Amino acid sequence: MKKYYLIIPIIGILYLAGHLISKPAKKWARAHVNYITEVDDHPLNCLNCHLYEKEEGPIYKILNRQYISPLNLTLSKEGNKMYVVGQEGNVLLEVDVTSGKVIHKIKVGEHPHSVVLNSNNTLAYVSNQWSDYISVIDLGTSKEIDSLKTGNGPAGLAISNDNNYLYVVNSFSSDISVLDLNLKKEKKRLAAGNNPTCAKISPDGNNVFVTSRRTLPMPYNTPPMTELTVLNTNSQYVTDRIIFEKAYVMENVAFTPSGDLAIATLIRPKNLIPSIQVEKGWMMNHGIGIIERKEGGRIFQFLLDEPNAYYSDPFDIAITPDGKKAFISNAGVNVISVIDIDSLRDFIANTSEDSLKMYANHLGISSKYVITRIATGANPKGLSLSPDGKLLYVAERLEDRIAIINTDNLEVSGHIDLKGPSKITMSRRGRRLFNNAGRTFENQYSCYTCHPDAHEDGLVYNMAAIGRNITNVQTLRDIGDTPPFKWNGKNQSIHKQDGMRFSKYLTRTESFNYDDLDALVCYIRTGIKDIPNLMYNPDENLTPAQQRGKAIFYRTHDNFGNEIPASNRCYTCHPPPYFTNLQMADVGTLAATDDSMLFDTPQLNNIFASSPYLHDGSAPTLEEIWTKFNPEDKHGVANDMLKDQLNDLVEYLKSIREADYYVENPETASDSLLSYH
Amino acid sequence: MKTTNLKHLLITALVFVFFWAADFEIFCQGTGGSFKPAPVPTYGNWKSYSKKNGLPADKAYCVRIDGNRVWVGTSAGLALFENGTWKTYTVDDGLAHNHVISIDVSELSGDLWIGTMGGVSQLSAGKFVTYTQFNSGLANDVIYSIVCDGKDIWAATGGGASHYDTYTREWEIYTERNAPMHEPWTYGVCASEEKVYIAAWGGGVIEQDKKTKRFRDHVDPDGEMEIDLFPDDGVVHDITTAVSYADDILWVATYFGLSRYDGTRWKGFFDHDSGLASNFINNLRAIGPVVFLCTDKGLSSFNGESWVTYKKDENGTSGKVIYRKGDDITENTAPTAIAHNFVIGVDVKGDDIWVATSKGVSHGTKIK
Amino acid sequence: MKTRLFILSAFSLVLILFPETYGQDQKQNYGRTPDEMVPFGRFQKAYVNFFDTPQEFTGAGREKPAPTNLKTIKIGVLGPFEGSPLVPQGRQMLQGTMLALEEANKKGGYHGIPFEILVHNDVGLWGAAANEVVKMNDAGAWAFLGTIDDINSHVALRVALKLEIPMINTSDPDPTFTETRIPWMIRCMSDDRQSCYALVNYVYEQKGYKRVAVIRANNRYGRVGTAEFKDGAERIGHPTILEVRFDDGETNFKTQLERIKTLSPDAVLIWGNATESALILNQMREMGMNQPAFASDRVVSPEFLRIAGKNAEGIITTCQYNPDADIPELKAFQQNYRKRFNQEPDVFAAHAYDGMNITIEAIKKAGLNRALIRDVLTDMKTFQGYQGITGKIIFDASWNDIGDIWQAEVKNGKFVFFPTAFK
Repeated sequence: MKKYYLIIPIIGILYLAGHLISKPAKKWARAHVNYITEVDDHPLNCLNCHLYEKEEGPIYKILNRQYISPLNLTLSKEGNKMYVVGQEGNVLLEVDVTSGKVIHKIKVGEHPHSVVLNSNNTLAYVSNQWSDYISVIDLGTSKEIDSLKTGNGPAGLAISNDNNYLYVVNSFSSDISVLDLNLKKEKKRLAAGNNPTCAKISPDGNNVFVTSRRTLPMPYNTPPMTELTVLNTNSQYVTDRIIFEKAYVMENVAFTPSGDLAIATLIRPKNLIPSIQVEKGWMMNHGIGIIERKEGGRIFQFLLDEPNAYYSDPFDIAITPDGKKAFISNAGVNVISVIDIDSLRDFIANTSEDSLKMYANHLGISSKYVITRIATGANPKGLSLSPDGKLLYVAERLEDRIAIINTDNLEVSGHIDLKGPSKITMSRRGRRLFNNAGRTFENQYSCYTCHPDAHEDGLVYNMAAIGRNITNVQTLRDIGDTPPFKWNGKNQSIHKQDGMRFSKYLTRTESFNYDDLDALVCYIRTGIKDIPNLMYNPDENLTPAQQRGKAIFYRTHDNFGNEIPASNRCYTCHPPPYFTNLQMADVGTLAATDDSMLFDTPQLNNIFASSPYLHDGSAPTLEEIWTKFNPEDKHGVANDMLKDQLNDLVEYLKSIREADYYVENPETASDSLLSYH
Repeated sequence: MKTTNLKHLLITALVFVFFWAADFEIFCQGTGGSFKPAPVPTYGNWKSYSKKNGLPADKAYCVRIDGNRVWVGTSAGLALFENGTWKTYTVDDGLAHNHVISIDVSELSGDLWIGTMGGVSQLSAGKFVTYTQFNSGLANDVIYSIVCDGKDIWAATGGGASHYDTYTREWEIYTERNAPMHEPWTYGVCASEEKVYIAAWGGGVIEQDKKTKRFRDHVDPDGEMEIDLFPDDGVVHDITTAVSYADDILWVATYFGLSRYDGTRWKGFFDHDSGLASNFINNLRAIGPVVFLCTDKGLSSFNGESWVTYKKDENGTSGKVIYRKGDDITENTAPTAIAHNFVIGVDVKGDDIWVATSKGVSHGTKIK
Repeated sequence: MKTRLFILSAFSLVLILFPETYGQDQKQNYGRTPDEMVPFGRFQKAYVNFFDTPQEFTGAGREKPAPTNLKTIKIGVLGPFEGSPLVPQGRQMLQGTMLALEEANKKGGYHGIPFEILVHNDVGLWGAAANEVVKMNDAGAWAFLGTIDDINSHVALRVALKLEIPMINTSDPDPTFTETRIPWMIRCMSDDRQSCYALVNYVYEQKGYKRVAVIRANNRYGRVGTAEFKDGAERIGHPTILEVRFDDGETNFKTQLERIKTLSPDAVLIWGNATESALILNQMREMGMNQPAFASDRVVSPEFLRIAGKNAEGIITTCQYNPDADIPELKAFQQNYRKRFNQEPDVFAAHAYDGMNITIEAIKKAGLNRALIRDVLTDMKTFQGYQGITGKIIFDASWNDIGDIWQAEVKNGKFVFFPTAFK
């Protein structure tokens, strides 16, 4: 009995203690949430954030799902089979079109991108963007029977008409691998544009067109110029590099059946004028580029946008076999835009050259050729037409399903469920928000637009008054654990970065509601995976140059034996795993047009993929950080270095991998603390 | 009696073998030592181009034949000869610098790699990409020689030899710190299947084994700058200006004479003891068994045995062709001649020869 | 008969007293190399001697018309002007050229157009000297002077050949600089070959030392600079007994000196910059090494005297400049220099002054055409025997100045200059 009596005072004490603690605890929690969110009315729901901050482990596994995320697809020549690339599921799905069922799930490499079939449909080739090889699938047995080594980041694919060569677009190493399918090896590698993505072979088989997403290296503060690379399949040389001025993110291209036109998707950014122009339609425009394929052929750019309505993030394009219609997936607004190609031709034919140039920025002319918009599920990406052109299949990436559109009545006639997880996780919801332009003024752009693949778009933006505070877009890979955010470090949390301030300065519309904001933050913290650094550090063994560069990175003395002050050594500000000490610093690169400020030390994981460099993107290459922008050794002591030493340092920097690697292999950091001689 | 017969037979057999061998020139000092070297062709019907008829400048540093096109590096830009007309590319078009010293065409990609006095330019499908010592791993912006070796690009620069792997994008620099040269002065570079040869100014020839990446050097054994003690003991002088490799022979140009290396033996050639037009050799290019030598006194060609030299008459447009084999010298007059006797660059494809000179470029065709 | 006898006797006397009147011209060895020091001279005659005759320039360019409407006539000066231990010497060199240029401009420049110096620093990122010559060319320089550092001089020279721009070197004593056969360069200052021959003569022949150790800078200046001393010593039968090296900027030389000390050499040759040479001398004396010390010409500087103090006493070196020489133009130069720059001119200033004067004169003679300027500079006539403030300039076939040099000895805290016995 006595024991029971004891419980009462204990409960009482606990109650009292709880009562005493709860108020200050709540006060603390309120202050914490207010601090994190920079607002005072964000709901006090600890789990909404803290449950979703793990990037692995049992809680992560319980809360998250392995989605398929179909990216690209193709149909067999009879149209009865569909082959769908599951980007997150690392699979090629074989779908019976008649029954709408997935009949085979074929495991392929990491993060597959595209699929092509040989002409008799016995083999499928799948590009594994994060594994640097092509999976060769025997479509008879539905098994991977071979793998073909490529360059870095294989994405778009095109096969020669005689099935002898496969042209592989290496999206990270920015080149094209020509694979000899008989010898089963790479014959050569040809330079492409910057971050190329799609390859399409012309109807006559003589050319492969390769689009690219990032601008070519440009003089500082000049508009982007993006390359469409033309490869001749006979000489297997690049014969033309068509430049699209003031455009980028050219995801895909398609030919008219006669081959007289090639039409590519693109975005026209207005990054060098202040973002206040968003409300006037001057931030991001989305459109198409047209190439006349004849001697003296012209190049045009037209918008898909309309006044007060934007169709962000055009991705794929498919043209019907009769050459009458083109379908474009606008991934940021969940829409398929339908273009009447005859109207487009008439419009071009009846418009003066000067007007055609002007129309590249004209919001009012899409009505002349866009005949309708067809709503789809979340994040429509790859498109494929049935051989007769009657049906259009749309990969709804963030729905794990394929939409079927009737190309006559232009309505969705059904869906094929790819049987991904039915639960929509917090991260998945955040990802949908990230990829959707719905929260930006008149759908002008999504987070994805400037952060394609959650990375960065390679541009600098003029966020304030004209010519002031030019800002280089930062990658979101490995960003979650590296507060503060923004180059000036003003945002202590992602909540703040993507909350009220975000809507005020960027999206210029209502900010995310708190549930959505929590979901978006959850995705950014836990859903973004950094790419494997297969280009510069494929097997964890550093090359001799990288090893020498590592020693320089960790050196404590300069070439003359003088001790380098601790504050001016590379590793002091850039320690692993994120290669940032999360502190602000003056590295002597403040421009005359910048407000006076220190810079947030950026993370260096996979820095090779993030040109241009420095806060304002003034250094097109890593070398220039030290050859041009470090005259007084404020950004590390470097002026004593010989050129081969700088090369070694750059090689080491390029070898830096995703942060997880250094978290899991802390010894790579500790054994790095070598004294440099 | 039997012994005598046997001896007689043996001697007869030996004599027979000797003459048989001699007939096939097993003992001759030729390419690989097996067969008589192919004859040195004669070129003529010279047509010259200068600033007056299309070149951006008179001074032409280099020339490269690229299918139906001809590229010429001048002191005022890169000139392209195609379909009978000239077109010029300059810094305004994206070229790194207007002094174009060296050009090579990548067989792999079809791209043009251009060495200038302000960095390296890559011309691919009409677009330039420029690499400098500031925006890339290039050792130095003054490029004396550039060569494409499959996916690899080699450049001899004022700050060492640069190697660029177009697949991995890695730049390597070879200087006195990691190669057997006294100073990082490189002037010429060429590649064979297995090796890369670098003409190191003051350091002779540096040879890198592609597989092992190991180096060895070839220097003048006498170690003196003012003399060559023996002509055939090694490279004739440590100040080397160009290297070219073909048909298993490495040819080395200097301002002091010519050296030939067959992998075992060196042989030196000078203007006083051979058909070499001048000891001052600006450049050379080996095509098959024949090496073409750009000297300050005309263009010489040589196959290890016979010489053919082209000179322009001091005044006028005619010239002469001088044949020499051993001590036999024949001099023929020619109605046409190269643009100038100060020859800086040369390229040969099929029956066509192009010569870059101090006063324009000349196009000749094979006449015998 | 008597008359005949008198004439015969007088003639015989003349022949006896002046044998050169009937003697055959004896061919001088390259670089005034003494017979006993000719490479392989005792064993083998060289197959080819490369510098018997000057290299011609046969290229085009002489026909190029002079440009019109020029506002200045640009002459480049390449040197260590920032970020190098050689900056003091570089400054002197630049000032020497400035004085000459200003004087020429006072006299009307080039047909009334003033001369202008394009100053280019050879100290920079990775092969900067080459890039700087390209920049000079792009800026329209008619010729350029430079530089002191031998590596940079070589690098610049190769660009000079490609771009065909005359290069006048006044400060780099690297013997190999002129051994390149590049017909676009002259050097109007004696090189280390001449210095080494003089030192070999003095150390071994006159002083009779036999066992000499060398401590030298671990760079091209040290390596190439001492090469002729070592070769010469070896060829006369006294190979140097030890060579040790040090890096620029090094301050403690005990390790190297200990090695020398154990061998008890008769004398020590120090070859490096003034600061390191002075520190070496100080440490030698501290260690009880009282051997006579000889050094390279870079010790002829106030810096050396300041650091070495009393230890400098008695050190002997060579110098390509005798500030006390009895040359009237020299006195005027020294006076004007002091007035203009408030500083005593040194060897770099003096030779640069001569070099700029030669350059300006060549431009005036040849006109605005680089090839013609080159022709005048290298014709072995116009400037052969040029009487500069540094003495008479005698070019050999490689356009190296093989005119007389001096020796200098520190006496009572000052360098005292005297002619060398090596002729």
